[in-house]
Amino acid sequence: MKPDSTEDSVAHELTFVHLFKRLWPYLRRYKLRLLFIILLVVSFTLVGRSLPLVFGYAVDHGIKTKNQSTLIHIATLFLFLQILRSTLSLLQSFTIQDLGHRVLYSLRHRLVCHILNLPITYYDKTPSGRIMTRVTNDVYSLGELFSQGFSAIFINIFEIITLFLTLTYVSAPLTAILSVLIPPLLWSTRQLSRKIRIDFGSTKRKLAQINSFTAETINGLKVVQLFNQGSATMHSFNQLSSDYKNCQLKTVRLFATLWPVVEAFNMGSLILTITVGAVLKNVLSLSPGQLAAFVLLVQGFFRPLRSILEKYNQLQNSLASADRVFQLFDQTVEQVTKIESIHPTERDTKIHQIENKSYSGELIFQQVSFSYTDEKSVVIKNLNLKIEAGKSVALVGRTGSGKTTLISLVQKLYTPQTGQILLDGVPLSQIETHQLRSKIGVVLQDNFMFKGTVAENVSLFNSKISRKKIEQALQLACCEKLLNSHVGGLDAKIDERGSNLSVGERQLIAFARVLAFNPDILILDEATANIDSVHEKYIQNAIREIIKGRTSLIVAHRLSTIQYCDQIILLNQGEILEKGSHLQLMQSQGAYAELVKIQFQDTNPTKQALAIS
Amino acid sequence: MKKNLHEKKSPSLSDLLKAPYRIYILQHLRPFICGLIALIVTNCFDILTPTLIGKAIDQLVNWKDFSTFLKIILFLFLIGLTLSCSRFLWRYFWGQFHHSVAEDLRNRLFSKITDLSPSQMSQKTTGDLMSLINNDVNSFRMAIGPGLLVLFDSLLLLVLVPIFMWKISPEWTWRCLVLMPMIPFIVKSILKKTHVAYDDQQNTFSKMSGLAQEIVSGVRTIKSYAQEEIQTQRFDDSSEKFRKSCNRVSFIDSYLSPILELCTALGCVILLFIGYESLSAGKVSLGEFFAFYQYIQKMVWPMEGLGISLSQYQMGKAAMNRIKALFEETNDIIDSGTQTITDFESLEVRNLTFSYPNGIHPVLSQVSFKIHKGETLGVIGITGSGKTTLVELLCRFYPAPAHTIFINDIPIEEINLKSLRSLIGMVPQNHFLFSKNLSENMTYGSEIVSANEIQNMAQLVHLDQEILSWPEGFETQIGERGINLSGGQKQRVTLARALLKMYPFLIIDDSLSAVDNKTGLAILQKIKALAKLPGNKKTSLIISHKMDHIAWTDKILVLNNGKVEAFGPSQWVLQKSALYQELYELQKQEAFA
Repeated sequence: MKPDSTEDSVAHELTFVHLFKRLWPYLRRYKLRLLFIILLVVSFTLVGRSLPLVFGYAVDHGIKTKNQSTLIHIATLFLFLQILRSTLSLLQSFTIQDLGHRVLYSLRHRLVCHILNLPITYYDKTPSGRIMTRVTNDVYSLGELFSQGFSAIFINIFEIITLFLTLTYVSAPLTAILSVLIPPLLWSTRQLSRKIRIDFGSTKRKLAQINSFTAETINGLKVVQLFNQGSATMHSFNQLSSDYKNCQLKTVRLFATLWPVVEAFNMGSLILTITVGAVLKNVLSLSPGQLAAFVLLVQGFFRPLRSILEKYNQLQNSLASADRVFQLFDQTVEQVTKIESIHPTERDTKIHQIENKSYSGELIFQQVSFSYTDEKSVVIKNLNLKIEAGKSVALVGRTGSGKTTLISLVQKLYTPQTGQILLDGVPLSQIETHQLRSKIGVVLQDNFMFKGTVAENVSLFNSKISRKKIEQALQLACCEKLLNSHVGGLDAKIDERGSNLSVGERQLIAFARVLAFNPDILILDEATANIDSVHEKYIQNAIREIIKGRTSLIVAHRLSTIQYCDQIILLNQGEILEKGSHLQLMQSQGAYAELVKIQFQDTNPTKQALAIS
Repeated sequence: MKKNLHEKKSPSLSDLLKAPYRIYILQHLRPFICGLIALIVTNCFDILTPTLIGKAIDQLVNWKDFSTFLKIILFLFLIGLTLSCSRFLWRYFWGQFHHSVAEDLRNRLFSKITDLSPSQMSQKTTGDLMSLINNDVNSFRMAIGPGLLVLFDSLLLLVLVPIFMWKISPEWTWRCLVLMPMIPFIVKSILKKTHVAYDDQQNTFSKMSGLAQEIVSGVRTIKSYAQEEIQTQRFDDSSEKFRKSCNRVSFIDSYLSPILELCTALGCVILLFIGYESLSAGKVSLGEFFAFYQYIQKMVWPMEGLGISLSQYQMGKAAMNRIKALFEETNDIIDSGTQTITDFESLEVRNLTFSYPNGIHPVLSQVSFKIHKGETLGVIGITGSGKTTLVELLCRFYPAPAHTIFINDIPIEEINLKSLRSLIGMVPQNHFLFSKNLSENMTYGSEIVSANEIQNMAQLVHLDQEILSWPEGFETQIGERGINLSGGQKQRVTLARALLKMYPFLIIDDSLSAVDNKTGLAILQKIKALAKLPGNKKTSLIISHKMDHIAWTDKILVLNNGKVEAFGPSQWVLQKSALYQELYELQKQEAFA
């Protein structure tokens, strides 16, 4: 668990009432269960209240009047009630938690659908760790809030009310006198409660600090050791650790203060009951049985009270978690058909409904302009371009010239502010996003690998892609060498993020992935930048195989890749500077030729070195 | 740090690991004893309450005189007062005791972690170590703190309560308590099941977390291939498994306390069945009957407590074993060097053959070369040729065989680690920055550095323009909570961080791979100029897979499959090394943009 310290300190607006309102849509589905739970709680509480009364009755009618058969009857009833109470207690506790888990399951499902529908811009600015914590840890905290918080507070309040009513039933005047104790009790618990809540918050923050400091030190341990910072780091940790301890001790002290309060009221109410019972013996006409029942009931008061106090404060902090979950829900999603509206059972049928229409791949950019929202500068300026179906185009230009942005626009990861992009004459805005993306294959500089097998990574867990197709794809992508070097062939295990593969191997699998999905349009974004020269040979072969007869957009650094392309487009600050084939551009002696010259020949000292020798 | 001096001297690690309970109790004897006394006082007074209430009830039934009644009330009042204090005190002292224990253990663990060598680290995940410092320390704290306390509390009550019951009626006592000895066993077996179920819950939770992490980090891939539904399905499956495991925990959790309550309730039922005779014979008064009823109820907690403390002890023991395992690990880098070096004169590698502890093939074989002060060495080779291993051996991240690496003609293993590392600076391949602000990151590990120096260094690594464009400039927060730097920017910050230290010997391990070629070269030229300053000559070792980055160096080392293919000046190497020629030819076609 890795809580995020800065966010914990943000004051949360969410209250229990507000939270309940937001959770209600999830609960509503389980109306019957909810009703059943309420019934269980009510009957459990009532049985619990009846037990002291039965004991009192036994004292008055069995023991005092020396009636053995009555006593036996009462004892049997008592046994029956106890068994009933235990059964109800078990059922109540389990059904509440079960409901909580069901609600959380739906919540998690919704949340995952939601985050998959968030626009890529959201991911650009939000660290992935933070989003992940929302789905797992924060939802988990929300669950505790639900199954331990809501229900416990509800049950405890109900218990206190019924206790009060039962006391009134046994002896109304005595209850009235005891009520004197309620205002000071409420006041002192309120005081304590506030302090405890603040304290819980700061303890949690200190823990978060320790955790992030430790995680950082572990991740950067080599740097710490390289710079001889072991003892300095240790010193900082000791400081954090002792701060944390002091915070915990403060909490311990506060909770310890709760005990004198509880004890004072416990003893106070006992003494008051007995004294009043004795002094007003004749006025109240209480039987010993009634008095015994009264004492037993009064002693039952403090457990639910303490429980409310503890839970309420602990859960105040979980509210921050809940708040963060709902904030994530409030992020606006991308304009695509929403999966979240589809119930899990309907989803399978829905997947097949995505049209299987294929495109020839002709792309036309009409006066496209784009800038990232929070930046002033325009990244793509009034761009006009036609890419014929089946042709390959290389995008060339310095960092920041808009190559990657242009590609993202084709994928509809971003939407241009003005102008439009047409695919086979249809504006992208009119093509369903999922359908569009399923027709575009992308290979990036470093490609994401899922934990699983080689085959699963090629098919992306899609069962519609047959094993044969996967095999073919791997073959076309020149992966034989790769498959031979890993045990298991197609089913060779791939670790988290593909950490057991080299960058080059990941690249090859990504190429196979593209081939398996057989897209109409292909995008290669610096797909060969990170690979050393020897491994690149394989990849060049794979690329040549893939771009055959497919509309391809290629961002590349290497001449060897660019030369194969039908057309080269030189971008400069979001505008097209030159376009044409490699030969044409070299002959025209323009900016492209200059770039090739500068980058390749003049600054290459090896070349100079060679010239010298 | 100062505080530690005033405290009692801290026990040695080996003593602590042998008998953690004894050592920690002795170390914090005062809060331990005080807490224990407060606990005993609490129990001795608390146990009187039912008897007194019983007496009061008897008084009410057969009123004798006011003074007896007043005495009872006064007694109750005194008990209330004492309990208020003692209940506060035992929590106060005991809290001090176990939280201090946790602090000590946490600090020791952290210290151990900062000393772990890379080969030790490679067998662990961040999650494992974090869980050790969080969960395992906490489990042990729970065992030595609340666990031990509950044990004492339960044992005390188990002796005291039956004595008071016996005083009321010996026959009732054994009959009503006949079921009680079962309780600790029930509690223990249920808690054992809870642990199994809880472990399962943790596993399914971490699997689900893993999937969530994949979905979030792989979101671009998922979106690009429009695979949202399938990923959602995968997550839902795992989420459903987690729900089921949660339910198992809940179920076991739900039946523990009803069962315990039923066991005591049966005692009360037995009392109602058997109570009649003694009561009607007048052997036991009504008030005593009531007191007895309450004593039966007081027996639940110690029974439950025994089970709880047993299970906490077991969990604490398991946690302590994991902690011990880390402490007892031996480090493969032993800092036993006695020689201190203050300046760099030469580096010689002689016949170095090295393979990783678990590796079969040597990563480096028979590598030999020598460089002197002021020279620049370029190292080139394809992925997996042993370049990074070589420099990690120079920094002693891994142990090189004895007498294979010499600095100033002293074997590296005889040099004090701290002095070695303050002489050799390395910019590692994987850039790592701390979540501090930019200037704190750049000055990490340096003595006092002026703002001017930082500025100059930023300029040297071509970062000054970018920094100026950020609103907070050098104060900009980096990492999760601040801005996300690009790979190239991070590399340049890590470079600046090492350059600021003015190391006599600097290693740059492919640290400009994400910087564009032109900028990368310009930075290297500046580093070169800096190293050649007369009177302050610096030595550097530069690893790269880009030809341009190393072609200008004084000497070039070509590594091929862990062997030296050629070593010497650029022209010499170009003639000698087939690999170097091949790389050169290939790069000729590639160098672009």
